[in-house]
Amino acid sequence: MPWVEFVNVVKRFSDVTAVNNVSFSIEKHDFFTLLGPSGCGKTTTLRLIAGLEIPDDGKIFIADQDVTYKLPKERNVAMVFQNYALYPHMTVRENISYPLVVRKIPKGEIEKRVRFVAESLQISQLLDRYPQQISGGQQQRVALARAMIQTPTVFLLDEPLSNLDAKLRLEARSFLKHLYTELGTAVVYVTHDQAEAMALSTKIAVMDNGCIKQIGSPKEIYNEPANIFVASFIGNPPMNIIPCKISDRHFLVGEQRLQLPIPLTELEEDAYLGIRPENIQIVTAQGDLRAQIFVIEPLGVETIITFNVDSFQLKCLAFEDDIPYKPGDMIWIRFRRDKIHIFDKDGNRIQGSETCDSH
Amino acid sequence: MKDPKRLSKIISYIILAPILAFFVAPILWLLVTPFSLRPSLFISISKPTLNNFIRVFQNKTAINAFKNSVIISVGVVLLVTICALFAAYVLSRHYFKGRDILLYILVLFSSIVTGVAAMVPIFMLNLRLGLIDKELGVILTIAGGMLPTSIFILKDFFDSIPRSFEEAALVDGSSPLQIMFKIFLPLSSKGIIVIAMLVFAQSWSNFLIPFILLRTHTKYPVSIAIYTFFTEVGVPDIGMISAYALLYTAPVIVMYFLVERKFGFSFYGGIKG
Amino acid sequence: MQKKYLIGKKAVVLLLIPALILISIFLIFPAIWVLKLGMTNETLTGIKAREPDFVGFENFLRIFSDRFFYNALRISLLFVFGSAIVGQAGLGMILALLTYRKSRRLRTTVQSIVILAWIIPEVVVAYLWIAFLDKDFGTLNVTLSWFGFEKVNWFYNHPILTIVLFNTWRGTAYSMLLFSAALETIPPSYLETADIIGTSAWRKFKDIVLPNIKSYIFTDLILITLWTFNVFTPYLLTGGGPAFKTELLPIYIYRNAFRYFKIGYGSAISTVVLLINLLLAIFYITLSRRKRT
Ligand SMILES: Nc1ncnc2c1ncn2[C@@H]1O[C@H](COP(=O)(O)OP(=O)(O)O)[C@@H](O)[C@H]1O
Ligand SMILES: [Mg+2]
Repeated sequence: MPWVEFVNVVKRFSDVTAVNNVSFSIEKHDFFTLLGPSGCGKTTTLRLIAGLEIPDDGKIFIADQDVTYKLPKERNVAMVFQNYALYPHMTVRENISYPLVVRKIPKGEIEKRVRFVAESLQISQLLDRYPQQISGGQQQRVALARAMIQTPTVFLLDEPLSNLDAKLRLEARSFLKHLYTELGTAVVYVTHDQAEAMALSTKIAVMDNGCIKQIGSPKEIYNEPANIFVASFIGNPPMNIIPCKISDRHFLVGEQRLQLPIPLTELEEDAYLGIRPENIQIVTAQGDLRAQIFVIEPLGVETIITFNVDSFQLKCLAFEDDIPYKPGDMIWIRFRRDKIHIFDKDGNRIQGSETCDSH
Repeated sequence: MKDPKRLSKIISYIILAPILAFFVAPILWLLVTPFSLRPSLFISISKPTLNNFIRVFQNKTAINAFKNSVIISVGVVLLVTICALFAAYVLSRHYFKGRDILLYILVLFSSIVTGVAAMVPIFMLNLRLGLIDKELGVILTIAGGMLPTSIFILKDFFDSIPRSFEEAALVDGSSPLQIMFKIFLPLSSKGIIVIAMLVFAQSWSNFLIPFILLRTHTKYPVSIAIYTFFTEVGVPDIGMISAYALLYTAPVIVMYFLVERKFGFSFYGGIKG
Repeated sequence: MQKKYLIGKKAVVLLLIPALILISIFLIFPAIWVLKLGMTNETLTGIKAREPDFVGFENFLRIFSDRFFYNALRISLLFVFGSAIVGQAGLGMILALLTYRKSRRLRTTVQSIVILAWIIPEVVVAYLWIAFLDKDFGTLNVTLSWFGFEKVNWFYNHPILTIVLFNTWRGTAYSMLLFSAALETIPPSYLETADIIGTSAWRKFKDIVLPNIKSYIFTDLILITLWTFNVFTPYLLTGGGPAFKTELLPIYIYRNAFRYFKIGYGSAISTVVLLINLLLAIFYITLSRRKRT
């Protein structure tokens, strides 16, 4: 049996369907991330697990128990809210121990556990301060501590890094990944940041508009996106998606004919070609497509080069130190043969590089 | 480049000065006269004395009226604060059918039914209920009038407290009562104190309701007592009345400025109308 | 349906009931009952106090031919126009502009003084003004005489001006605070841009400030009109006199109901005032709703 399971869960808010027939299962060792743009229903999904919302349809199981209509406190979950929800009228110590206090755990035991989590989160020196008196990063750790002290069946984290500034966020992310190994139980994590999802998760569910578009490991999501939505949501810069026609076993990109035969014959006319920026190369000899350089943005390690092909704009990532071109130059580009994705006209992936490769 | 700015500054001071003098003069009189040995209607600073205050404390009517004012105000504060707290909590945290209509009706009636416009039916209502010349009638009437505004202000305040605090407590395993007493009330204590203070100041200052509902001199609150003092036949005792007025005004000023210092203007508007 | 867990249906009802009962009995009921009272010839003393007759719209018809009513209505309108719209809003705007972008200290001082006039209990305020305007010894006349002016009997010779001045003094704080807050909502960069272009003060006010605080001004005007219309304090200053020259509608109601004990007729006038309040309130609520969406 899975540790947490959603079966055809639906949640509506008057006229909005925030969660639309969602099913997934999470194992006890999973770091499960709900990833998607703002407003796609991630928080609602998390709140459904916590019991802060009751589904209109479907079932929810936690640790083999049907908890669909159970109260939050009967579910034994711990949640970190997006704004942390640290009680401003309690000290850090009181905040952390609150879940144990309301469960009437003996004082000595509480004291011991507070000391333990405070130490493992490196916030021992803050215990007697008030939440307003500590920094955002520290607040986030206190919120984590309040969750960790409970030995819950599952941890729920709602965009815990989104309130931190960029530098702190990277640090906190590493720390969170390290922490996960100590938690020893499933984590459900909500974020709109694909890099966070990739870095932390064992399993990602990409959501859009209340529906799950794909579930898989970060690798699967990255390498075999099930549709254009997932493909263009993951990666930075995201995957280039080029609308094209297929005729005579070749792609037509605008006026140009891609110098790459495809092995499938039953393809429809209209399709999309997907290629990640790092899989495009600028070549001196004749390549796949003719392109004109639009801008070059050096970022240190890598350089983003944007070019126009016909009426489309593609981005490519180059890792050389010197780019011997300037905007306006006409160049040839080449796609890495084993990294091409083909999507049908509804946006679903019909073929990846696997078959292309065999050609 | 500094000159034009300085000029505009000087001009604005020149306009401000007479306006401020206009506002200050009557207030200054209130601050000065009670301490004056030979009080007059002009702002005159003669030898300072506390004699006028001593005479207030020797005046049985004055002291008794203070007691009555305290009874009325404390009664109104307790009634309004508790009722408004309950109602605002529900209105802020719970959606039910008809809530918006209820709110609309409350806004509407609270702004049209002023004590002044409705003094006749209010008097008749108290008459029929046997509440004429009773403090309870005054308390209930003032409380009914102040409740809607107090509810709105509290509801706005509660709305500004993120729900996630209560939800976090819920996930952490609290019962509804624990949430109420350990999380919600401590978080909203500021707003509740503000409401209590504003309600106190307002009911303490109220003139019209006790004026039309009370008959017996021994039941008069300070507002009516002062009115009878200065409309009495004969020569009014300026020193005593002004000292009494200052004592009566002081708590109101203290409360408003406490609220203002802590929470700013946003709380004023509605309730002081 | 959602959020079942926080409070149950029963608790909702229990928590709402005390407030609703109080409000229904002491606020809503009187406003509706006044209609019925206005259709009787009820009095406080005599036979009609026991068994008032139903007289239909007689009282309301009488209002239209009551010259004291017209007098009170006229004075109320003058009072509202003079003290609220011109006095409070005008002076409030002037004060808000004079303290806008000035030092914090100046603003706090000005605001505190004006607010004091607003919060002092009305009885005290009335007494202060009786002293302030006293013909022979009052601060105003004494000060004026220093500058060589004649002493003026304010209450007797300029009764309406007196209560208008008084009420301007009393209520300017609200408009000033609202306008000050409104001015704060204008992003400083708007005015700084104008400064760089070199706009004159008047054009800055007309082109940048005014359009940005227009909705606040409307709100303010409606609210202070409503409030000023329902002010009773001048009664404490003048008792409505001399010769009914400061008899505002509320004072006229008071005279009918509590001096002549004509409850029925007083109720009819109350009804008229409540209806005017209703119009203003609906106007206000509609406006503030539109602003929100
Ligand atoms: N309590 C609520 N009432 C009404 N609509 C809601 C409520 N909570 C969420 N929604 C709506 O449901 C959708 C999903 O919201 P949410 O789960 O918060 O998205 P996310 O966390 O992915 O940004 C949004 O359209 C949002 O407006
Ligand atoms: Mg969210």
